[in-house]
Amino acid sequence: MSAPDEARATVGGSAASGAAEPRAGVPDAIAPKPFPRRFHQASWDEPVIFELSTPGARGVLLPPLEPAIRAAVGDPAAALPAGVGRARPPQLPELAQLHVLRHYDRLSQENLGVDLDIDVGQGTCTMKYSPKVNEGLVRSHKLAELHPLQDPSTVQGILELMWRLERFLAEISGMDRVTLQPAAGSQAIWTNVAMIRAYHAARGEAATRDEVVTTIFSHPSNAAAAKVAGYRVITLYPDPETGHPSLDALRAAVSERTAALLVTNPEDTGIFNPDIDAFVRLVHEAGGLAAYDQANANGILGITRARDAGFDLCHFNLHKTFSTPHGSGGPAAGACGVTADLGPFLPAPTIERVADGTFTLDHDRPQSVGKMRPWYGVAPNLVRAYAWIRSLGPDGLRAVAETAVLNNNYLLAKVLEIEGASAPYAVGKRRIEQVRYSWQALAEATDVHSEELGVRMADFGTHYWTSHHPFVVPEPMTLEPTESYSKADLDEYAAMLREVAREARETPETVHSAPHASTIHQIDPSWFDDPERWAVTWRAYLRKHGGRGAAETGRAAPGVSASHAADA
Amino acid sequence: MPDRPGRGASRHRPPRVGLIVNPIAGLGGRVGLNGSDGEGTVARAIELGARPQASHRAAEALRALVSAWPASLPRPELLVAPGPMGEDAARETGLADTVSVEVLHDAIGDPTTADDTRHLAARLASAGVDLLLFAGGDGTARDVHEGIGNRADTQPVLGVPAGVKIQSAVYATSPAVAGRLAADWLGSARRRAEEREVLDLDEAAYRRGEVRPALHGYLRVPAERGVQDRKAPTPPDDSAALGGIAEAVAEDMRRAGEGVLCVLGPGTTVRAVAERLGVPKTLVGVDVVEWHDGLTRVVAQDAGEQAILHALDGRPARIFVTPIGGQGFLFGRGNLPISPAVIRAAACGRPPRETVIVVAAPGKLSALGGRPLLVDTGDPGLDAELAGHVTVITGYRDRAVIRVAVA
Repeated sequence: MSAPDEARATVGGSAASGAAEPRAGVPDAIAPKPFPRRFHQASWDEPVIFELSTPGARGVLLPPLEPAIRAAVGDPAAALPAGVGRARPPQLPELAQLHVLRHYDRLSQENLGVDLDIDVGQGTCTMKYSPKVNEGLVRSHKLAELHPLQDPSTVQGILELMWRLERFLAEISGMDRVTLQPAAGSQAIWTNVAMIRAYHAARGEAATRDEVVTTIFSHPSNAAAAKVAGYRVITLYPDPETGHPSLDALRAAVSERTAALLVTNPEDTGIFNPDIDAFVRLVHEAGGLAAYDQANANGILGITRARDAGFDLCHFNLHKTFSTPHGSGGPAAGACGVTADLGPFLPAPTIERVADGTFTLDHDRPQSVGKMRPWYGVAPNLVRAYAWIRSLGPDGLRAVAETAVLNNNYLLAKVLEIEGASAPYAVGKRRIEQVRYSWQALAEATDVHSEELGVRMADFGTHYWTSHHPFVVPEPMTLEPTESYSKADLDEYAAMLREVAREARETPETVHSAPHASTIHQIDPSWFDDPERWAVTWRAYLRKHGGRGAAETGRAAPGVSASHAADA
Repeated sequence: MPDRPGRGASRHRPPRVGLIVNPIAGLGGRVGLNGSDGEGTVARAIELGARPQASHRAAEALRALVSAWPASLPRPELLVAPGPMGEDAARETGLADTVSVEVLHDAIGDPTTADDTRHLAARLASAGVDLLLFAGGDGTARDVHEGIGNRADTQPVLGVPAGVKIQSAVYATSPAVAGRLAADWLGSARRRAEEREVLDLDEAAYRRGEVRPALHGYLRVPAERGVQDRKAPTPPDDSAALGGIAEAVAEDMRRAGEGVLCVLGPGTTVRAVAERLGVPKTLVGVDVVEWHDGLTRVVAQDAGEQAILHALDGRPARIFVTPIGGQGFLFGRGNLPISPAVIRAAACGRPPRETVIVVAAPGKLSALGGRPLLVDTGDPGLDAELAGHVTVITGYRDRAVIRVAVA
């Protein structure tokens, strides 16, 4: 029997007897856990689900159509519109329910996430707790069975909820109008850029205003969205002292060609640009618009508002600040806020409350930039965000920001105690909700690099993210604790960082060769540079490799044992 | 120049690693002579008590290479220059039992000379090594570059720092890093190499206190390995940005219309622009070209100050430059023919900043770590006029505003 089991038995015994005195020879408390904790990730060698397919296997066997029903309605398939039928069945993997469940349970064990580890290392992503009570609302049949093609008169409840959420976000940002149509943050930025373009076009300046100004520490989606819209992008670099660009740098970038300033504040360094209102004024004087990237508003909720700094547009990622699950391939949710001047350009439709108090979708918007996606908003995430805001109220939202900032500055102090760590720019000043740290001093002393430290963290059951490329902060690490984590969580995370930094100095090979206790060992990242070596779909994999992978590993499709195969 | 992927690591064929050591590299520095080039300097250094270190540093790199070598791949084979130029380092490692070492038996001088380095670099490159390691300083990098000649375009090399002056961007930061980088690169599935600058000072001038390195050429070194990263699985490759920069300049030229004179500074970034404009470009020289009616014509190649002034002939011109070296110099390092007189002549009375067009891939700007770009034209008044904020072309429809300061 292992030590933890013994300890548990002892505790159970004392509780039952109610004895205050420890018995001779029996430990009187749970044995202390080692620190850092001994972690080992599950590793299932799980195949891709297509490799698990067994021809003919089914998750659900539907009963045959009863003769009486067939006699009454004829062929049910004939009732389907011709356009939805397909000539050949899709090439989906064929599995029993148990095998599907087991497959995804195994994969979930090879994962990390906010509900499993101290997930403060996914900086700029704002990994916060999503209250589980809200999942009950989302799974309710009242929401789950709605269909976007229903007549608005039959979905008044969700329309009212969305309309109210828009009003909340308008109040939080100071803007006049909000749309919830974008499916994610990048699409929200794209929506703002589309409105900026439409605004200038309406004033006859589409051709002459062809430049957008952003900053290197703003979220890269700003530059990307502007590029897609055809703008030239001018990027400002930070002043080495303050960490944010100077007004002089902005002055050098702004001209009569400027369509807009797209800026994140605080930037990914966690540094807030205190001259932001002067930035906006300068751009306005040149005839440009200013859009505030508030993808992550976690440090400023209830403290400052986009409109108060003069911005014309802003956006939120509801899956960051407003506690809905993160996308990264799954459903996220975005929201854009604009001033009344830009209201006519909002994507159609908009949700409007009409005179009798009911809600409609207004498609008649001649100056609109059009639809951003087929349906209005990611409804489940909008319900979660609405519930989260309602549960906190105005004071609660401000407390979120205050707690997040406090947590961040506590973690900052703990990390800066570690030899070899630093927080470049604005040295000695506090940060808002995140920090982009640098391990440059440690890397120079040990030849252990930040990416390797981050990978080694996986052996302790967590990880961290470095930075966007190219690295502006050398040997970067971006941490954002949010309001969800306790002081004990932050202490534990900082202790893990300290331990990994100690290893880098004393036993660097341990870090170079990490991870040792994770699902997979090192991979060769240069493969990502060669499109012939990777595939993002099974079909592409088969095309590039001809399915040789499975044959080479000698892996039989599970569910088809050797004897079954022989029988067949 | 676009990257050319090399052969990837093979599970069957052991990679061949060449080694060449400049045994006298670093001698001068230890005794305060600022480098080891020039007749008599070596003898003087040894007289002053200098002991050769380069061979030990090469051995350290080899040990690091072998210890970081992936167990799943066949061990590398060494092909080394004779005696103090490589053989001694290979023996010092004590790895003869685990790694095959083949020695070239060419005659070398005593003391060894720059000619020996050039000759052996050529021999190793023609013998077909996957990576040529060389230990030394800027002078050694220059000799290797001259020695391998045309093969510089295809032969991957990596410097083990052992010299007094290391301005060239072809060296790893330490011998151990060189070894580990070599192992990582040789063992990777796709070996990416990129051209990096070979810079060298005129040591005679350096001993007089003048820091004016010249750009001698480019060597292909292992590209720093990207890292897997959830948000950016493929680290942006600066070679891709070069194409975008060139396209952006070509677009500007088309807009400008006819008769644009251009002074093209040295470097791979400017060369990419020239290639897009359809003109040949000397890699380390300053060229003058004229864009006219959609075609570009060479006016002067590898020109000195006077030749450039003659080519401009009082007409306004655009000066294309890219920061040279790790310090971010726009003027005063590697492009001396673009003198104060040339900049003023090209400006034709306009503010000189308006005539200068800076091109640089984003990675190059990020590597500055927030430091400004520097100017050191030799004319303090002109330097002051060039200082301030400059717009740098970083890609297609991509620019950055960067501060320029007087060095």
